[in-house]
Amino acid sequence: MEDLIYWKEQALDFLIQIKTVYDFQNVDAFRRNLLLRMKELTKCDDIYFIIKEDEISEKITYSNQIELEGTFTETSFLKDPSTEKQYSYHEKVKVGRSHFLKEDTTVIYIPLFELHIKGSIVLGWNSPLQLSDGVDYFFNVCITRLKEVLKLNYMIFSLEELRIKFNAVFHSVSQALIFVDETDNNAWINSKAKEILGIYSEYEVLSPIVISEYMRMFRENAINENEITAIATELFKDPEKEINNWLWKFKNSVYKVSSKPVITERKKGRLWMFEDISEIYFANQRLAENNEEFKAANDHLSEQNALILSQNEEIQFKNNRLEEINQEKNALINIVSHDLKSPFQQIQGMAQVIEMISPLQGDQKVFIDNIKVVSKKGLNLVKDILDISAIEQQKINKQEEIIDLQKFLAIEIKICQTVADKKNIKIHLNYESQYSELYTDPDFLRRILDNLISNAVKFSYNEKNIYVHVTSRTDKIIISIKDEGQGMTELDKQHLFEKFKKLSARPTAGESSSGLGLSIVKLLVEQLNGTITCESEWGHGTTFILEFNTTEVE
Amino acid sequence: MNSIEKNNVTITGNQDSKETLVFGHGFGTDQTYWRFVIKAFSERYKIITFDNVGAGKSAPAAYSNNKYSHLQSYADDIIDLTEELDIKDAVFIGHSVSGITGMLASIKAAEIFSKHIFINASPRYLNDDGYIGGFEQSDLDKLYNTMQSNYHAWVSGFAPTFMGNPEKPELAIEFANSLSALRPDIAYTVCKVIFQSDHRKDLGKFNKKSLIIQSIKDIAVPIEVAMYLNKNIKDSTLFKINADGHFPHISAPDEVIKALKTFI
Repeated sequence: MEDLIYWKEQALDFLIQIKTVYDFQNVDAFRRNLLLRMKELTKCDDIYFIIKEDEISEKITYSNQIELEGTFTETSFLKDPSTEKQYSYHEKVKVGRSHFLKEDTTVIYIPLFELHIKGSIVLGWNSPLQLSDGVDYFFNVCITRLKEVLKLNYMIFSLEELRIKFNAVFHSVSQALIFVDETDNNAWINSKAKEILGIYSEYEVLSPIVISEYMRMFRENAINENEITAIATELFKDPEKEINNWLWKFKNSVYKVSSKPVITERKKGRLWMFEDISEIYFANQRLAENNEEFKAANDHLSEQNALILSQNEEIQFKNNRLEEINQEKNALINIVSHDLKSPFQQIQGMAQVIEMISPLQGDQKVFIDNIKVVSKKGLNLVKDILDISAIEQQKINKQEEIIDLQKFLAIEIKICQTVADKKNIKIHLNYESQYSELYTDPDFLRRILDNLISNAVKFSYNEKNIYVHVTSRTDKIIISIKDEGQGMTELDKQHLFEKFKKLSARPTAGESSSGLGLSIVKLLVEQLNGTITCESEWGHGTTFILEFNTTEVE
Repeated sequence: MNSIEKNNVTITGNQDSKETLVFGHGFGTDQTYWRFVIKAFSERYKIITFDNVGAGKSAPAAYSNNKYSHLQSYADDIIDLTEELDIKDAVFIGHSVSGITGMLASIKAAEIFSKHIFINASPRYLNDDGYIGGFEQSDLDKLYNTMQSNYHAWVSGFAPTFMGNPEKPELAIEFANSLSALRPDIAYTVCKVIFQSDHRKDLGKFNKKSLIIQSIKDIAVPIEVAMYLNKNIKDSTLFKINADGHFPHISAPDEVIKALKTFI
């Protein structure tokens, strides 16, 4: 009977004393003190608070034997209590030397299978314990209370953790947040919101009236105040209305505002969120302005483009007209030249007949000779004109074949030499090309060479030399014709190949010159896919350089 | 689970002998590393070898990163297995970390072992004021980082460095293979537990007759550590052996046998 009262009193003591060890700031100290109280009241020799970290790791977290704290053990050999009890009693337990309990200890084992904590509390007595109903009462009361307090302690601790996490998020987000709690009539405001509303209070919970006053003042500074007020009015009429993407524009900043109701069973309130979008808003605005400029520039370009197109059309039209005129001109030249050719031939024929039928005397002979020279000149001119127009109109068909260039040149030079001999001019051929053959139209080439060599003779003084030099480089045959004549001025060189251009040099023996020869040469060279260039200096002779591809020789 | 299963305990040698030798292996190895040394003693002694939980062929289910974050848990396993085999007054031969866990077991259960042999063991790997452990925290942090980022690359560097004996590459290959066989997360935890451990204070609680065998060249444990053990374990003798690397029992078994015979 005495024993029973003793245990019940101890239970009451535990209930009273448990309040004195509340320490919700320090979970460790609280749990340790709780255990020590229990040790005192039960008069056990040792007490252990064991937390099960995983299936096989049971860690002694608190104990009166401090050196055991942090070590691992196992309690699986201790039987679980029967369903109606919260503890099991074990007398003289047999444990190995590795175990924290001493051999033959009497043990009360209190398993903890709570949501927040898995493990056990183990009390050990070195000598057997006198069990009675009072013990049962004591442990049932104590364990129930102990579990409650542990749970409360855990909840408070979790709440504190949650508060820390919440505050970390609430105050570090870049958005301004205001939660107006209509149930409690208070409002939560984060640092960013205080900053934009200009609230210099260190409290995070303020009166909703204060907040709405600050919000009103803030709103009044907005450029689009009327627009904001209109929407705000709607919002106040309908407490369940949600608004997103609501722009509050200020001189130097723009906020994207959302306002949504938070309605749960126990809470009714509204969450305001202000997101500073100034940077992106103004950047967008600048972009839009730039776009305008671009558009204007684009329009201008389009106009100019249209103008160019119309000018192009005009040019095309004029071109067509020119082409027509050119064709007309060519037709005219053909007709005129043909009609001129036969009178010149007839004049020449007549002059020869006059010479034959009667011996000429004195000036008669001179006049007849002049008639012959003039008519020949005229005939040549007509021939040249016909040639040039034929080439231009591509009426002459190119007939290409492989020729032995060295032999071809030798014959050509021999023919020209007979004319040159009259002025004692010597034509030299120097053939240094690695290629002996050329794929070309021999008639075209002959006319080119005739023209260039006879020009050289024509514009050279007596006793001079003309050098025909043939070389080659990759896929090219180069024929140069060099004279020691009068040379050309810079102006001559610019207009060298134009029709009817007479150059500064004059034939040295009164030879005739139509001014069409080089134009014909140029046209023919182009027909042969070659090039012609001229190197000359006034007073220092002239060199014409012809280049033909050898690639066409298969 | 009994200890025989848990620690893959093997009993060889002279089964009738009253004298028992218990061999504990170090990190990254297992009981097979004792194969050369035990031959020399199997005629006369009963020989117990085992695999630490987490290593070799120990029971995978017995391992927990929480529980084995304390060397005492390994020591408790040694106590359990010797109790189960009813061993008393045996000789404990521990390589590296097992030298320390054997000592912790003896402190808790004094009657199991009468003599201890520490082979290349260290009570603390980090240098400290007035103490040369061989490593700076920054060295170890680098080692942990490499281990975490690419375990197999770490193995290929760690194995030859700690094994030494470059003229016998097969040794480093064997060590690399046994490291590779470990679960990387277990290897990481165990390696960190060992390298961060400090059991200098426990040396004072330990009073068994001891032999400290130390290779003259070992990157894991400098000779100063062996001298420190010798100085701080009351009844101890230091035996330096002419061996290269952290694993003389496999690289220079004859030297180790010679040293053991002077003491057992």
